Amino acid sequence: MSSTIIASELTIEGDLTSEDDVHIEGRVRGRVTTKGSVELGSRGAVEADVSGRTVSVAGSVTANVTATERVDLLAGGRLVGDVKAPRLTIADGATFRGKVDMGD
Amino acid sequence: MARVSIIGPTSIVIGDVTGRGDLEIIGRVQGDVVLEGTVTVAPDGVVLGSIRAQGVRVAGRVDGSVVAKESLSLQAGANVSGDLVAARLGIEEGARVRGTVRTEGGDLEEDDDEDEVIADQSDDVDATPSEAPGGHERRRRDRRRRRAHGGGGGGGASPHAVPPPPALPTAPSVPATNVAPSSAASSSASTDSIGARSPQTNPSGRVGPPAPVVPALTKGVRGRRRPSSGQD
Repeated sequence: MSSTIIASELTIEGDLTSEDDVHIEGRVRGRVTTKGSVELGSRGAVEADVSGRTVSVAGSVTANVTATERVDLLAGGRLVGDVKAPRLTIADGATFRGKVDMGD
Repeated sequence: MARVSIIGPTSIVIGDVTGRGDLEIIGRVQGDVVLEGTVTVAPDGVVLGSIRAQGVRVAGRVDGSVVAKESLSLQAGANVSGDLVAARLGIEEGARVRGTVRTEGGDLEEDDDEDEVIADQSDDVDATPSEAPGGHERRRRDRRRRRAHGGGGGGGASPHAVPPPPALPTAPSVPATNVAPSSAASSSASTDSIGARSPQTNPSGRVGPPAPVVPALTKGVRGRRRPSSGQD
């Protein structure tokens, strides 16, 4: 259970920061920054940078994604932007356009 | 999870929140919230901005106006600095309001000092919970019994507590009754004090007429500024 949930018909016109997990089914037109995990559901959309411990994308991100642990681009997910994370998985059926930086 | 959104306790939104569905704010929102649904501000929740929704339930802090198309309830411990507009309104004892309060959908009343009157309507809100959240059963009302009106309460009590300064002991009460209707007619506080002072300073030639202070104070919330301006 995420501590912060943005449901499907909600829009945040600005930045969202948190210390805990964030689940997004709606739309965030701003940065999402958390020390926990970011779960972007299939209907979720983020239009600015996303950073967290882990980031999983089943929806749409049109910005850079940074994770301290891992980024998972799930089937049906769409990511246009650069990814910086030590681990990255891209599921079959995901859409991705951007650069990947997995460190050294 | 349907359409219930939660701004968690450690979460901060800097920007506006719009859309449909219910929203529970346990963390902090620095922006306006416009929602077709019910907005709940939890006891530790903070909204620095206005809220406009079908239903609004506040147990935390809101620095901004709150407009509810259906029902608005302020629970004990709530702290709202802004105007309240709602079709149905309930203010629990222990809630704190600084602003004007208006219940719409019926007769529009004056927007000054209605807080105490509306505080009696808390029964209405108890009858209209769409999703009753638990955990609001803190009995702060027993601990402290606040008046709903924080800032204006002091101004309203001052005319009785503070007697007019005895600069003019020569019966200033007679011109005061003449001045009172004019100051009541115009709503601007600053022009009142100037207009009320001039007819007295001219005949007497002295400064600091205390008499217009009393009727003017009962009308405005900023009454405590009035005595100092009168002594200029």
